[in-house]
Amino acid sequence: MSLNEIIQTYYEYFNKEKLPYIKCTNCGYVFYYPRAICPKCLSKKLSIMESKGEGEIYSETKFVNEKGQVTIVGLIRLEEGFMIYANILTNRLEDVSINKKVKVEFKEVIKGQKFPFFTTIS
Amino acid sequence: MLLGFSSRYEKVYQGSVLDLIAETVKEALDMAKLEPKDIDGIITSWLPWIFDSTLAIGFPENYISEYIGIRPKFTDLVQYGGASAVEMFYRAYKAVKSGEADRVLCIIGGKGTLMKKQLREGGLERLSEVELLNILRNNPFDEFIRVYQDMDPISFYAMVAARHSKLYGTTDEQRALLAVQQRYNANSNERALFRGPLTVKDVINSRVVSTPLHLLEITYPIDGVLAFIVGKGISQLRSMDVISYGDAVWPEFFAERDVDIVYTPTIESAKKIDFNLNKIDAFEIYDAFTIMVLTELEDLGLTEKGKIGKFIEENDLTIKGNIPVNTGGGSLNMGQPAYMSGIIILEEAFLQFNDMAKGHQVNGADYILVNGLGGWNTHATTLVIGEKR
Ligand SMILES: [Zn+2]
Repeated sequence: MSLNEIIQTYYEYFNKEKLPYIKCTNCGYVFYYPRAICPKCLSKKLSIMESKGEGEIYSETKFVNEKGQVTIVGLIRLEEGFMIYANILTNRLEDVSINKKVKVEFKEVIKGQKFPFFTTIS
Repeated sequence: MLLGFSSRYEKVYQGSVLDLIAETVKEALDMAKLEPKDIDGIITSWLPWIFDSTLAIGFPENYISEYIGIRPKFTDLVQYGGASAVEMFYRAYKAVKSGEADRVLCIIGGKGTLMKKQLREGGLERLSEVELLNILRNNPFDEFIRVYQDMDPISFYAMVAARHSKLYGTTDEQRALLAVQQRYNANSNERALFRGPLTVKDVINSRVVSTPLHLLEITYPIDGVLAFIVGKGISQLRSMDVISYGDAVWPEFFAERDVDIVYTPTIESAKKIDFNLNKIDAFEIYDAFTIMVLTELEDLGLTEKGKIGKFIEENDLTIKGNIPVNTGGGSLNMGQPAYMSGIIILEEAFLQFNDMAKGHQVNGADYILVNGLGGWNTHATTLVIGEKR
C-alpha cells in the first residue's frame, strides 16, 4: 500500500470507530503513526491491525484552553505496545493520572471525519 | 577562536529584525576589529515565523549576507531549535580548524514576539491547526497530531515533569528551588529582565500554566539576536577552544521514542564528553523550563536519574555555591530570545570565560560546560570550552 492508501484506511477505521495500528510482518515491530515502510527494517510487508483501544496513561498534563475549558492532553500506551498522543476526555479530572486505565472514544473534529480520543475507565 | 560577540535582548524590539541584526553584527565586528569584508563564513539558524513573522525565507544564509555585505566561501544553516546557538559555535570552530573559512560570523535570533502579536490580533488565528498544515509542517504525522488541543511545546515538558514526579517523587518545591537559585544569580546581573526576591512559595503560588508547571518555571519569550565571530587571529578576548564536544539527535516524535520521556538526548551527547565534570567552573544549562535543567543535570551525570530533586536541595547551584548553574540567571530570568534559550546560555559562557560577567562573575571560570537542548528533547549539544594549554 502507498502512504496515501494507508492514511485513507486509517480515516475509514476512525469513522467506523475502530483504532488501527500497523504491524511489520517482517520484524514484528508495532507502530501507530502511518507509514508505508517499517521504520525498523524498511520492509513494506505491513499489516493494518485493529487495536482493542485499551491502555494506560503514560503521562498527561492539564491546561485551560482559549475558551476557558480545562483540557487534558497525554500519552497513552495501548495494550498492543504502541503509544498515541491525544486528548483525554473526562468529567472526572481527579481520575486522570499516570498509570490510570483509559479506553478509546471517537469524536468528529473535522467535518465528516472522526478521530480517536481517550476516556477514563472507572 | 572567539574574536567578538554582541547581543541585544528586548521585551519587544521596535525596529525590524534586520535592524536588530545590523546593530549586533556591527558591535561584534567592532569588538573583533574586523569589517564585513574580513568575514568569509556565515552560519545562521532559521525558525519559521519566529525570525520576522514570515513563515518562510528561501536561503536564510544569503538573505542575511546580502543585507550586511558578507561574501562567504562557507555557509551553514543549523536547525537544532533551541540548541542551535551552541551547535553553531561548534560548527564555526570546526570550519576554522579545518581551513574551510578563516573568520565565521554566526547570527541567531529574531523577533519572536511578532508571532504572538499575529496570533492575538488576527490573520493566522482564523486558520485552524489543520489548515495550517498546508503551509507549515513539523513532522510527517501532523494530521494525526495537530487535531488535538495542546500548548505545544509546553505540554511536552509538562508531561516530562509529571512523569518525573510520578517515577521519582520529584516535588514542585524542588523544581521551584531551581528557579529560586537561578533568580539569585539574576539579581546580580544588570541585564536580567526578571529581578527581585523570589521564594519557593512565590513560584508555587504562581499560576499553573500546564500541570505541574507554574508560570515562574517557564521562560518568557522576547526579541533578540546574538552575533559572534569565530576565527583565526588574536583579539582582545581570551583564547578560547572547544575542549570537548558531544551531540545527539532524536528525531522521533516523542510518542514513538524507545527511551522514557524523562531522558533527554543529553544522555547521549554527554557520553562523548571526555572531561572531568568536577573541573567545570560554571554550568550553562538550557532552561526554557525548570524540568529541562533538572533532567539535563541528571543526564550529564551530576547525579543519577531520579535523584535530582535531592541534589538541588543538597547543593548550592548559585554563583556563590559549589556547583554554579546558569550564572547570569538563565533564560528563565533573561527572557528567551526568539524561542531559543541557547542564545542566552552560550553568551553567558562567553562572558564568564572572559571575566566580563559584571556582578555575576564566577571566580576562575576556566572551564565552562554549555548544554543546549532543542525541540521536544530532540537535539542536544554539549560543549566544554576553555583554553588549550
Ligand atoms: Zn520491520
